[in-house]
Amino acid sequence: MNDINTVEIAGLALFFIALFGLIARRDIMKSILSLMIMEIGIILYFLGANFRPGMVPPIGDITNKAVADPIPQALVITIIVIGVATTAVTLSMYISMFHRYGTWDWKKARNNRLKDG
Amino acid sequence: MRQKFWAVIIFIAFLIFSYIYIDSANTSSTELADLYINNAQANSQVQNIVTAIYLDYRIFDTIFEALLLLIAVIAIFQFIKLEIFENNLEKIASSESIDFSQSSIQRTLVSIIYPIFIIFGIYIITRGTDSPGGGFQGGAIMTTIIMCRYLIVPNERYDYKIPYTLEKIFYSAFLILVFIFLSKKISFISTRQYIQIANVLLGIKVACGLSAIFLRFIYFGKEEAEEIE
Repeated sequence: MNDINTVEIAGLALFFIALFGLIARRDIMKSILSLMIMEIGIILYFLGANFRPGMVPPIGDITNKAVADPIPQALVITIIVIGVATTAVTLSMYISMFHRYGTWDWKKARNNRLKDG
Repeated sequence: MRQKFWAVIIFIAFLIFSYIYIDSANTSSTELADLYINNAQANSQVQNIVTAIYLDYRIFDTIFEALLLLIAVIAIFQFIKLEIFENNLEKIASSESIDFSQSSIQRTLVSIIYPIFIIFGIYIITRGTDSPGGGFQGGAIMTTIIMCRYLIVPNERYDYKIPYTLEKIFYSAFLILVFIFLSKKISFISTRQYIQIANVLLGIKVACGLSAIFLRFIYFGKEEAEEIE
């Protein structure tokens, strides 16, 4: 139990907490926040791949040292910036939906849409 | 009651996944990571292996991810255009550019500090080759320029079309540079110079895209109100 990778366990925990928030709440803002936190959990899980305490980053003079894995870091750089843009798209869809159906509750919005036919 | 039921199920799923993870931890080989760690600094002539990966070894990933950001910006412009704030007539553009109902402490301090943001952003973009940094990171920092300006003078006329078109111009320049480098017929730039120029172009492109998102969000009420007037 000494070499448990706490970064990846934290990523898993964040993902499942946010999954609960996505299922069990009716406010759409909470769904959007839960999606953001799920994404952060996935990013943490990728960054902790093959990590042991005492590793150095893959920059500069790396002879005779244990170096952290550089591939997940390179993939995650773009994911963080794209997460911002994706959140902006979901928020603008939420604004459009709010003005169309008049409620912040997804169940009431669905009932409104089915009533309109 | 229903929420407690879902909480129990999700907790059980978390336990199952963490057991699977702990059972299989540290059993994967590090063959791919060793290949990059041993060879990347010599082949790409840069010290930062992460920059070498996303600009030299896996350049196609970066091209399509930058394209994804551009399409997300276009999608935001389309969504907010559909919904017109017809009842938003009380938003009249005032004659003064400073909004005196906002805090003057914030205005003064932000106007002193924001040159530091600009220098920090340029530093992170241009030092991507030998120390942590790069295009995407520095580009996200450079969007604070337009945000600080909005905090100081909120009632000025900002044209959101300028970063919207500039982003596409810089993305096209980045694509032309990448295809010149990949074709290997014109070999007057070395790998290190290509990475430096590509970082700068990518940084400005990301800054323009995120600034366009910001400006579209704060101004989608005013333009329709001015059309009706």
